[in-house]
Amino acid sequence: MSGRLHRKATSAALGAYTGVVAFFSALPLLVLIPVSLNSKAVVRLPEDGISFQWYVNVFTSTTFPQAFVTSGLIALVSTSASLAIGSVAAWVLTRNRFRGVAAVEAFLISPLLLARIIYGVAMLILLTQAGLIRTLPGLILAHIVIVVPYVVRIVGSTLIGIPGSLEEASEVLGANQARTFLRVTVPLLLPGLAAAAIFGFITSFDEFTMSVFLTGPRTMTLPVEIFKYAELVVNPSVAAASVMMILGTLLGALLLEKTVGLERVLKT
Amino acid sequence: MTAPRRPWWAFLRTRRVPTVVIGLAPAVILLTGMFLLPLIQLVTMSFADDYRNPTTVFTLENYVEIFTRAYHLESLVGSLAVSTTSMAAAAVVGYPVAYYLVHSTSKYKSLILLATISPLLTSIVVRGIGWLILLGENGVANQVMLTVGIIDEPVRLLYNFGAVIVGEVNILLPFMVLSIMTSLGQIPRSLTDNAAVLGATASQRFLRITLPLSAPGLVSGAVLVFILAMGSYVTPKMLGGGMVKVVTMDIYSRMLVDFNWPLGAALAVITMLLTLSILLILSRVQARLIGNVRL
Repeated sequence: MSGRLHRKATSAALGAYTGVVAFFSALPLLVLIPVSLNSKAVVRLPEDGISFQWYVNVFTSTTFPQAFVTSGLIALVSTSASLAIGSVAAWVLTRNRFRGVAAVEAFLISPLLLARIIYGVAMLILLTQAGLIRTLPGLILAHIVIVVPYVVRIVGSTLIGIPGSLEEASEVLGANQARTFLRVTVPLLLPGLAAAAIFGFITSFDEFTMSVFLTGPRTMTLPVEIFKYAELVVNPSVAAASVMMILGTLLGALLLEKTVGLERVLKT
Repeated sequence: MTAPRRPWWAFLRTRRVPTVVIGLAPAVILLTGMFLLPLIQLVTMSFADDYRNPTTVFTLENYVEIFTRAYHLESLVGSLAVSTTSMAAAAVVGYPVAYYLVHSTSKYKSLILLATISPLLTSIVVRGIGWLILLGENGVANQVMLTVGIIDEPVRLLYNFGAVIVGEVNILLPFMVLSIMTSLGQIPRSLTDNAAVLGATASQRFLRITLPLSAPGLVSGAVLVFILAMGSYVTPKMLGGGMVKVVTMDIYSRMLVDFNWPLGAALAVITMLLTLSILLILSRVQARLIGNVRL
């Protein structure tokens, strides 16, 4: 009897501990909400009522809306390109056996192992020589390289779960490989593609450490803009801009959870 | 008597080849031009003497400077200190969380999982601002503690080593937790059940069965946390406020403040090699652990 009681106490303590860790994990995000609603220009919990003036500030500022559009555009274009390039590569790699499959796959995933700051420095050197530094195309190229590995991994792990016999049947019935890929594989792959798209978009939209080396006054991304602003002053406006960024990401995360499940995507 | 040798291009004759080549070409070309090439340029730059007048001179000057100037050595040591401390702290804090998330049947489990991994889904810049607002001298933590009466005057919580570690662990904990969860989830329930039947106490079951079998997940989580902490810039910059020197801040200043690109490139190469060597050591440890726990 005492053993059982003991076990119950242990699991209750473990649950309480986990709850506390989870609370502190989310705290730096949660605190932004009340602070951004403060009626006074101090970064504290509101004491004399709330106001939405800081959100108005963010919307009417000359920098934040433009940075938001830039970030959205980069994320959209680089995610679409990565999906096209990466999912076809993942399909070839999982459905064909040839010498070097493992090596090619390792190569395509290798950007994940390199610290973003080092890649940023390397791209600063390359894009400067290519004349693409501080331009949108340069930023997009760099973002594609960052997103492709995630697409290869997420789509690859989804493909393993789809029996190859379905594609063989399609080919036996006379469809060529391109048709088979578009009509059989892609529809079965949709959950994986959706997961890769949302995860890729979030990754690109939130990226800072590499982008800070590649952005210019006309191509500021939102994280870089918020960082530069916060270096000068931390006020409720910056909290409001942060909350808007979180809302965008949260929407993506919810979509991900509803379509394929967060845990599955994050574990691949 | 030898069989006719197949020319090296024989593989081109197999039926699948066009798909393989066409399918892989865009990704391979992109990564060769936009990943491999810049890395080669980075290494080349680290041996140059001046990026504005690139001479063909091959010099080790930049490397010599890094290893002889206290400033650069301090920033390298600072990075190692931040990374190892974050790794250990994330392991200790994260293990019970992973254990709970694998074994609990609570209805709040998915909410707890979402909160724990929320740092993964938000920009590190936003995280950093959250901590600045929480821990600042006029910030929320001081406000709450003053109101409740724990303290009489604001305490300084930001701009020290501890603040940087708190920020790093907050961001990197999800990697540790997810990685341990994968390992823990693979341990068959029957093992601990059988041990219990045979009379093992709870602590014996944990120390002799659960912990060793989950060690590979623990190590791969540690590897991830270490690599990511070595490369982090925003957190030490925002929460350390110049009091904590790390190599990423050194690299940033060389590249974007005083435009000494060869020196910045050399620092980047050293950071890369340092991270890579620790990655190799830890993966060797992991291989041994996996070898030990073969069921």
